[in-house]
This record gives sequence, C-alpha cells and structure tokens, in this order.
Amino acid sequence: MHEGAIAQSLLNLANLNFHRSGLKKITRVKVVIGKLHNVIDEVLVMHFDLLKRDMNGFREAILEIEKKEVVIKCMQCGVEKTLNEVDFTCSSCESTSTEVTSGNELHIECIEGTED
Amino acid sequence: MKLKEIKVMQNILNVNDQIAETIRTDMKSKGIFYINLMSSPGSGKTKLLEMTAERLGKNMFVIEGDIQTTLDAERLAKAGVGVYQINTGPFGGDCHLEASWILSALKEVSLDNISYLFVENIGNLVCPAEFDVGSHLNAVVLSVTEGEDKPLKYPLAFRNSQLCVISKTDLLPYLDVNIDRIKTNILKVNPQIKVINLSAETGVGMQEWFEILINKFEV
Repeated sequence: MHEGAIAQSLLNLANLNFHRSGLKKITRVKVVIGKLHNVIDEVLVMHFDLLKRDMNGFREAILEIEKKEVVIKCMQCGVEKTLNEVDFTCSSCESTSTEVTSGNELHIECIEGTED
Repeated sequence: MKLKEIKVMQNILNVNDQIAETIRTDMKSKGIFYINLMSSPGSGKTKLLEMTAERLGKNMFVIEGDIQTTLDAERLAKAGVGVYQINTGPFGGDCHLEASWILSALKEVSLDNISYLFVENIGNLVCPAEFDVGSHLNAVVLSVTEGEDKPLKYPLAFRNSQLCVISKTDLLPYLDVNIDRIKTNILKVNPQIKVINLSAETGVGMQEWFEILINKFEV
C-alpha cells in the first residue's frame, strides 16, 4: 500500500508549486506513472481525495493519472518492445543488455487552477 | 472561470530521493558500506543478519524496520549487534521505510567504528522497492519456500536491487521448486542482478555473501 505515501508526496509537491503559482485554487493535478511502479489508480485517487480535504486550495482538485506502458530497448540490436509480460531480455536477439525507456515514470506533469 | 495550467515536471518522490542521496554521500564519506535488505515477511533477513554478526560483530549496525514489535531487534541485540528499531505504527502503519525515517534514526545513533550499516526493511515485496533509503547496495532476499514465480509477480523489488540472495536453500529437498527456474525468473526481471544461493542455517553460501560485503559491492 505505497499509494498513501505517494499521494502524500505528490500533494506536498503540488502544494509547493501551487503557492509559487499565484493561483487561487487547484482544479486538477496531472501525474504520469509508469506501470513498473505497481500503483493501483483507484487506491491512489482514494488517498488523494482523503488528503486533499485538509489542504487549502485543493478541496475541488481532481487527480488525473496517465499510465505509461513498460518499454525496453535492446542495447545490442536496437529493437524496442512493449512488455506484456515480465521479461526484460531482448525478444529479438536475446541480449540481456536492455534499458527501460518507458514505464519508470513517477512525476507531476502539471497543475491546473483558477486565478480568480 | 478561467483555468490556467502550470507545467511542473517534477519527480513525486524528489524529497525522499534528495534525503536518500544525502545519506548515501554521508555514509560513503564515513567509510560505511550501507546495505538495504528487502523481502517478503519470513524470508530469513534477520537470520542472515544474525549469521553475518558472527563474522562482523561490532563492526556492523542494523536499523530494524517493522510495523510493530521489537522481536527482530531483540534477536540482533542478543547476537551482539548495535540495533535501532523503527516501528511505523501498529494499525495502518507504513509498510515500507523512507529516507526520512533513516535520517531520523541516524541522528539518534553513533556509528563510530562501524563499517557496515544494514537496514532490514519492513517485510513486503512491493512498497519498500519504491523508496530509496540512501543505501549503496539494495539486496532482495527471496526464500525458496516462496516459490518460483515471485520475481515475475513483484518485479520492482528485483529491478531496483543489485543483489538477490536466494535463501533457505537447505529446504530444497523438501519442496517442489526448482532453484534454476527461480534464478531464470529473477534474471528475466533484471538481467544484470547478481544472484547467490545461501542457507544461513547450514552456512552454505555465507562465504560468498561475506566476500560481497568485504569487497563493498557497489553499483
């Protein structure tokens, strides 16, 4: 259940940006989360909705989540593949030298709010 | 009502990661090799540390993470190890340690003459993998009793570790599991991870574990 800690961290970060922004209230927080993180969207939203109640400027905010597929690139043959099962070896040349090019994201993309 | 969008593009866990980096640098400057042990509950982390203490003794210190009780810390204290207990709370307590918990603990303890710092993370194969605690080495412990499929079910713990200890190998004759298939599944998740087989009960594999510690396996 790491969604609670992630919700708290993202609200702290969003709040910091809110206070720098000059906005009066926040209507939306958009996050991008890679599937490697095992985050359950519904649980994250539940924690976000509970925590925002105690935060000035966030009571009407919704959490928008963009999920990213896990994609690896082979460093030997250059082939990219989207993982549908957990196997980080290259399906083309069987090299174990691969890197994750997508799926490890965990960031706030933007906040949205009103100026009046 | 006019809406305005402001780009943020910041890592959600950046505060945790900054604290973790501070701890990592501080430990390195003190010459302390810092290992974060992660696993499911009951994989044998405490037993491994008890047996490690037989060799490293007062040269090691353990920060023990549990939701509740000081049972593991008591075992390690009996083994002659300096230990600091973190309890995250009896009901609804966090199921992982974060860098801020470790930073607070480090303010309470003396690491004079300590060369090895271990965090025994809370038993959970999901959440601890998410949070950098500032270690030099993440080691995931997987006991043979957990079956062959756990790396595939809980990949992040294996992706975010540089070492996997397959533990309780003395029990293999009694189990319907194949250690080669366990290893194959680990390497599917993380082809670069180092894997060692170990039984803290019989001592098989302990020498390889000590060599990793002595050589300060660092990635």
